[in-house]
Amino acid sequence: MKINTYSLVRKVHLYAAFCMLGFLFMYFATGFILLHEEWFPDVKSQTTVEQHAVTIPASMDAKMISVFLQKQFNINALRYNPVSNDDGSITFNYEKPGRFYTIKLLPDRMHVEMNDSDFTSTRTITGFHTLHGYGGSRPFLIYMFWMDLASIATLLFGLSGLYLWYRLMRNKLWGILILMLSAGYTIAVIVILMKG
Amino acid sequence: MKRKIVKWHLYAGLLFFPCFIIFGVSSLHFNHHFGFMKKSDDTRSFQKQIVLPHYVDNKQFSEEVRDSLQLMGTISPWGMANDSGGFRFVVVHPGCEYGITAHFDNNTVTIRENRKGFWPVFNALHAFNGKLPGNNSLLVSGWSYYQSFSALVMLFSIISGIYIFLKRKNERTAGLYILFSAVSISFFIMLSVWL
Repeated sequence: MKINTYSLVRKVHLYAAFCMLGFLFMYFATGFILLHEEWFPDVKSQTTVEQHAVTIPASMDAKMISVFLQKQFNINALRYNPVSNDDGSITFNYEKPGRFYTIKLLPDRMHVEMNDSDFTSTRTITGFHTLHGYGGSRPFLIYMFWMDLASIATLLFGLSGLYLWYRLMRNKLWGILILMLSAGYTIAVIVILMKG
Repeated sequence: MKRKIVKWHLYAGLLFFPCFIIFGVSSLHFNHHFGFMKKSDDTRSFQKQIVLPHYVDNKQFSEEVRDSLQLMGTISPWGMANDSGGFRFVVVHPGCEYGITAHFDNNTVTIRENRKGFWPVFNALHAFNGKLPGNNSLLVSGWSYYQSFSALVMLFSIISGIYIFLKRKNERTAGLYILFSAVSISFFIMLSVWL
């Protein structure tokens, strides 16, 4: 069976765009806010601090404790790597859009200090953009997988779009000029930053 | 009308092409931290003789030394110290990190330069606003405008792409099902991490 390359690439371009449109729209809307944070309200947070008694099984290492505490306090968030402090305490950080949790396991391993920071709406919106890395509860694993797909789709749009332009446009002069301008500018910025 | 929109849709995509590649590759890196994209350990040290500015406070002094050395970058709030070894501070930008020590006794500065390499710069462009104090070039500071403009061009590409698709009758129904299902799933996933 002969495959029509143009038709295949056009379908890849179209359906990759459709599948990832929701995430791409979020990426670009939140990315615009991140680039111009000064135009939007200040990032202020309300933090509540609580102390709790916990029973941590002795056999658990820091990573297992991180999972344990997340379940114990029912935190639906992305889980970061634990940080061991000089005084023997361990800090566990969890994040979701608009919310940041820090749990400090005190050296006695029987008490925790929990900071729960609630951010304003701007930080909540941009939080969708800045979440990265696998770890955390199931919705976050799905979210990161979807983000990976959106990243691959972004590459596919670009490359398939380039092919479609090459096939569709008879007069390629303007396209070549635009491409040279955008690629040339990007390369120049990269070179200046590498050498500067 | 449709032909004109197809043409502008393609040109808009070409203008945005480098950003597509940067956003796609760097987003994958942020999720997976690829080893080959780590910053290089390429470091060299050298000395320079300059007229050191009059010391008023840490911020003023470090900024004036940076400008005298014609460097660009933000002065890191960390790693600043003033002791018998001299006044130390760090200047950073996406491509390089300078550890600077000013020696008051002989008006010299020691510069430890760590060039990060290609990939850290490439990935930093994802969220780079072009604002670098010091000896910044117009090309670099213009990156913020290029990126903002690209975001608007992207919006135009999405709307024009949907328009071009809707003009094609043969795959409209199936496409609309896929479009609405995928957008609904995306928003459901976003909602599930927010709530």
